[in-house]
Amino acid sequence: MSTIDWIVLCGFTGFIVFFGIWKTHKTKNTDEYLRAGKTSSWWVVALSIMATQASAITFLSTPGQAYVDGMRFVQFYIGLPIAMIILSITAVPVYSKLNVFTAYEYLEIRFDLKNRILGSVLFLTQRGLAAGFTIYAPALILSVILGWNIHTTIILMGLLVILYTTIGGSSAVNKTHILQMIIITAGMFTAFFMIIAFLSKEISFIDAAHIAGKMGKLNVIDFSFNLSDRYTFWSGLIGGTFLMLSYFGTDQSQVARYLAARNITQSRMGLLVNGLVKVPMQFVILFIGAMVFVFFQFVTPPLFFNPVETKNVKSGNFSEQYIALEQEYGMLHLEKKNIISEMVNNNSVSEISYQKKLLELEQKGNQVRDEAKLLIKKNNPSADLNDTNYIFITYIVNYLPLGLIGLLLAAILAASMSSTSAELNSLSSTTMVDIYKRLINKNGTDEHYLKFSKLATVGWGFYAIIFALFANELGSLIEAVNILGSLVYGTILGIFLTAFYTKKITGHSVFFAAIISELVVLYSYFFTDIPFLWYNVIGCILVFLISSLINPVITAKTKSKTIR
Amino acid sequence: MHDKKNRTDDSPPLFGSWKIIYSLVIIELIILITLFFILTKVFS
Repeated sequence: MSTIDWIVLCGFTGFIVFFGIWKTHKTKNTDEYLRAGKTSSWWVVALSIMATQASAITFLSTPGQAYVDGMRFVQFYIGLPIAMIILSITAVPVYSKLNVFTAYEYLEIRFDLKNRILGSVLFLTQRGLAAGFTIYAPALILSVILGWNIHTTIILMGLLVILYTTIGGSSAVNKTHILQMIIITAGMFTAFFMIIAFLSKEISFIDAAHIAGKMGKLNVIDFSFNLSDRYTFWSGLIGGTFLMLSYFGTDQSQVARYLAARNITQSRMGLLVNGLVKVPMQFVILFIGAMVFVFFQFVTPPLFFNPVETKNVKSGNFSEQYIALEQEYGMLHLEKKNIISEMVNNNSVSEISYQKKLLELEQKGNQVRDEAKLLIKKNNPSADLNDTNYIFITYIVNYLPLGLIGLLLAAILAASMSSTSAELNSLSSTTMVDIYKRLINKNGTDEHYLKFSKLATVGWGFYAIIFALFANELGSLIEAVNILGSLVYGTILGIFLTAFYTKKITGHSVFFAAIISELVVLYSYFFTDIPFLWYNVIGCILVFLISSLINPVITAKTKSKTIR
Repeated sequence: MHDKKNRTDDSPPLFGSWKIIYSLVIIELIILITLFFILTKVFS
């Protein structure tokens, strides 16, 4: 990486940290520390919500996803605007009226202590592990591509986030989110315009879209109802709505963002602006991936995008076979490039005969890639054969001009830090408000609770760093962390929806219903092929149904005990 | 007093009613889905 890129990268990252500390180091009480003193405007809430959701892995993976699988991933977000409306009507007024610090406080007010503890423990378990993964995933990719030491990257990134999050709490998180979203957006649009500029030397923008479409990358909407297909319109609309309701309505890392708003209006507007912006934003990121795919029709892509695994296999026993596959892949690529040039020169981008030829060659290319992956696996049985996350960063590092590489890397680090800071802040809030203040020390002073909150932020920060440092040795656990969210979100959402929409169901009923529902979700995960988005629907509906069914029995038993 | 009013104030800053803003979010979503569908059909 050039000196200019280092200056840009360090300049942006350093300024974010400095700005976060400078603006918020005078935080005086727990209200300011955990809810930013309830002073945020709607646009700060909206940017903060978006920055929390946009982690580095989203920024790196999403274009790669479009490159490999097309743009159908955008359907995952179709339920988001609907969820934002439902939450604006239901959750926001309730949280605002009760003036809570965390979402789980509400569960005790509506039900009882055990439901509050269940909700907060499920959150702490899932989000605590996820915080480590949020640091680890981009550090791994940056270390592979740029040769940075992974441990140094994890520790540096972790310490910087801990520094400003601990000093300024929620205020620092919100203020830095504004800058981080500006950098992320600037990075995203720079990448978009650069790739269009590169492509314009070869073809027009419309031709590029036709090529992407003909090769199956602009498959944005699929209305077929197929339970085994992960991303369809229906799974996005139904499963996605439930997932987003749960994530934005019950996950403290998001709830804290709109609890910091100065009134209901600002919270609602923040959520609704997110509902307006998120789908187009994901579309643009995925479209960049589709254009990167077109770009690599004119420039030969590597056979496998992870350079470390490529180097390993080339220096191992399968070197000759791998090089032969590279040559075969190069020939196929050349053939494809010639057809595309002919197609564009003849103004025949819509002709089906060209599309057939291209798809055939693409399929052959994929077969060669599969053979290469087999060699990589034989050479190193623990190698990760999914190179999706490395596609976009390969484009950034190898084809962007000086200075812009630094900007894009700053955007990736900003995305990682924005998610991590929100996670640490929410973990700290829940630990302090729902566990420490509620169960361990009820009579402390505000100063004491402020100190404890800072200590909890540092504690969770180091926990995340340690998890990230050992994540390499815990390969299967990382996969489990990704799935863990889907396994618990439905049940948590079910508890909250029962709380919002019913008046008679008691704490005992919903607690037992939650346990049974969680067992059913776990059964679905271990013994069925149901895609993970549907777990959110299953868990939620079961909690609602079971608690409604058992409530009369449980209420009757409680009454008879009281009479006795 | 001002703070209390500030926290309970619940009128949207634009369009006068929340129902209109919710409708706008839904209309935007429907437009986007339609555009995505057209994009899929035209370019695939």
